Amino acid sequence: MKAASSLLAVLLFGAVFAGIVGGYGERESVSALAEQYLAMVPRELGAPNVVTGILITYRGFDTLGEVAVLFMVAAGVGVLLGGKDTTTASEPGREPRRPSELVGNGAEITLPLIFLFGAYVIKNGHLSAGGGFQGGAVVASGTMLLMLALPATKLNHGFLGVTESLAGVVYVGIGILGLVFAAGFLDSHILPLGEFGTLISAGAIPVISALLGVKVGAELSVIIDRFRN
Amino acid sequence: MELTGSILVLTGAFFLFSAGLGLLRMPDTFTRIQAGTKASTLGNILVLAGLGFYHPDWALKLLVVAYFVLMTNPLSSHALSRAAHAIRTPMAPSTMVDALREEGDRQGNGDVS
Amino acid sequence: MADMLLQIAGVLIFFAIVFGVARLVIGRTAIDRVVAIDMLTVVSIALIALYAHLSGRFVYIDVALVYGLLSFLAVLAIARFLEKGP
Repeated sequence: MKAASSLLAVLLFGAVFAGIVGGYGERESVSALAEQYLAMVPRELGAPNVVTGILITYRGFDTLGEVAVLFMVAAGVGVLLGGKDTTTASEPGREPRRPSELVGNGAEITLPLIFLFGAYVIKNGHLSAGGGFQGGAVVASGTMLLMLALPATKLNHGFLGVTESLAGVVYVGIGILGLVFAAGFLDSHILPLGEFGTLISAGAIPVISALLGVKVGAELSVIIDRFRN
Repeated sequence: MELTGSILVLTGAFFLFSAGLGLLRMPDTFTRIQAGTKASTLGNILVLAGLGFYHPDWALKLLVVAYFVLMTNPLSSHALSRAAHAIRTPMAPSTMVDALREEGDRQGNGDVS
Repeated sequence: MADMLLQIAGVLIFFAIVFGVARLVIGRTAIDRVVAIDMLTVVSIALIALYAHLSGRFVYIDVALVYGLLSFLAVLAIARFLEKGP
């Protein structure tokens, strides 16, 4: 019975995904709006990655709202789960097993690679796929590996909180600078566009992307750490 | 050059195939873990190396992926087999030696590793 | 010649995935299913790399790396969860 139901579930998933795969095709033509963005973003913003250009400049206010939502989530989780004495609530007579030494050592080797990859994703946001949010999530997953493999580590919540608050303040500050020196709030033209396609180009987009990455990484790390106990 | 790359990819695909076969045919959990992990790691690295022959400019990123798989795949399977041993997953009847359990018995509790 | 070899490789990888899914369905214990997921991930990384070559898009390699990272974390977390016993 159980095997039959699990087989049925797998078959249903297979049918759904077969429909998706069968219906997938690279779109040959783009709509008029997309065409306009595709022409406008590299010309006006100097960013090869159109999506990041739209997200950070034209829809900058949206992104600010998303960051605010994430901040509210972190604050809410902190209010609900933090504050109490977080001694491990393991039932008596069953002390938790020591984590494996192999996993700990392997995590120490893998962690720098993960954080480096997160930084790469953040810094290449305006060139290829990636950006602040994605890179921040990769950094936070590195934090999660740290907690899984080396449970004795304690995160410094004060430092993380100050870091992400500073990143948020500087983000809004850059937005106000755009109001003063360029066309509007969060306009990326406050810095020179630079050479198209290089690492330091596209005005303020890499700076904003890095700030977003720091903020999202710190916030998600704190949220994950709150859920640990 | 392309022929070398495609032969490497084909070898890797064969190892991935054998990993799947081992996963399906092996008698108990532990043998499945070792069949699935070893063969799939080798197969993955061979496929990535073969693609590196096709695109020499991708080589660095492919090397990073291969290194990552080489580091993480044995770790995850080690953690899994440790968990399987901790909850006393039954072994195949042909298993002769369980050194980890004997070590735990000698130290007085069943939970050493 | 080279393209044909790549096609044969694709077929072999397809059968590896079929076997992995079969183990996922049969299972027997939870550990068996997690092992199947783990092996399917590694096969999928090779498949994504192969697809990146076929479609000529370098970006997909990043996808493979992130996928491997997330699956590794998931397997470690599930292993820690299962270790505590039923």
